[in-house]
Amino acid sequence: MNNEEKYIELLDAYLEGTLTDAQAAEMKSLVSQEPRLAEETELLIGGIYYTVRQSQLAELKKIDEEMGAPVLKMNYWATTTYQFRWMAAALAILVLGVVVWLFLPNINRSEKLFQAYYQMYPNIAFIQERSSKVGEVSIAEKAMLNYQTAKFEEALALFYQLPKEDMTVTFKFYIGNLHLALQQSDSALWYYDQVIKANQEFALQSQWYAALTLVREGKYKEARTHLELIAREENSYRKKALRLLEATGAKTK
Amino acid sequence: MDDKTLIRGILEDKPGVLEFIYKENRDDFINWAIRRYSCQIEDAKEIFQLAVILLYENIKNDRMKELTSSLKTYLFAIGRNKLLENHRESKFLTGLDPFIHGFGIKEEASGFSEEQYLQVDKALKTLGQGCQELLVGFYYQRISLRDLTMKLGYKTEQSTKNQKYKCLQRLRAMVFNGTQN
Repeated sequence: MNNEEKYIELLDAYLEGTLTDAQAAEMKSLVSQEPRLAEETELLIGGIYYTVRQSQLAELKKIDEEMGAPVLKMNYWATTTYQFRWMAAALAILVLGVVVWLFLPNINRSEKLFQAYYQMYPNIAFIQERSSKVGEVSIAEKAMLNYQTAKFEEALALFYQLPKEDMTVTFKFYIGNLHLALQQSDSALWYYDQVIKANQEFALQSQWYAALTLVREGKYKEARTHLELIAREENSYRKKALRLLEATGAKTK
Repeated sequence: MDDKTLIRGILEDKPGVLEFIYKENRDDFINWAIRRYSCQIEDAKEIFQLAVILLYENIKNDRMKELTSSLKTYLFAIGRNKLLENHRESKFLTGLDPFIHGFGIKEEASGFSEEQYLQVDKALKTLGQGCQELLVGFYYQRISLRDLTMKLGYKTEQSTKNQKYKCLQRLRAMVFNGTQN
């Protein structure tokens, strides 16, 4: 059985919930020897999801057309109280906006640049904890579920309950993401740095998110160090890195 | 239909279940989304469609082992997250493809571009119905190999597994080498 066949067999076991600890270790070792296996399969399965979701969306749109226009239960703009509240809120935002625009131009620019490139990394981690029993939701799984549903603080609290020996680079990467989402840049950078140093899975992604964290902080020079490393080789972040390099003031050739 | 029947219907791929959920909840969701998040009707509708698909996937992926609230509340919670994401990103990402945008699989997030997904999509559609049913059944609908064997009429679970592997390898070859194995 070649590595590709072995990897698919292990992935099937994972998806069917029958993956043992030994198999999980074998899977991890296969992926570290040949990262291509996981990357290619991730794209193929993602593509399958893409296809089905598009066809389901088309089906739902058809049902929607058959249903006709939705019945709205009230006219939300009918009362003057509502209008007044919205106008007051809009005015307050306008005043705040002017203040921010006048006094914090750099912060505004960094945050805008960050937001233009930032997207929370999706939950694609394969989870296997030593302590988890078959059929029982493990701490890491709970953490990842909270991550996925944007309950960042809860997710972080659960990750910190993991025993030290279970703290893989994958989890460190996701913890970095959680700190970034909670605007805790120093902690995020610390975890990304750990993953980059380990130079295993998620090292490239960590370079990217570390760069984004530094962009948000307005530390463009440091961000460019990460971006230049990403842009050196062909990879899925290269184009974005080149654009962000330009946006952060790097001289282009 | 009660919640348990609906969940069982999704797990067993009974026809018409998603349509029922959609019709039962669409107008309530749109009214709620407009009132709470001041969004446009069309945006609320699109987000509701995404929420229904994600509800389906969560049930299939066994992420709802014990439902602690009603299915409607769960559906609205998914929609709420999407509304918040939409609201947060709309300032910077207007005009982005709502499908990609809505599912949070933008290029920089998943590492893959829409073009790459379209390539897989195209290859999958040329694989033939048998392979499509196997791959979609196992990887998306999360039907077990045992159930797929019965559903698709294979002789043994092992032969279903072998055929699924061959289909995946053909898809891999088409996407990465541009050839058909």
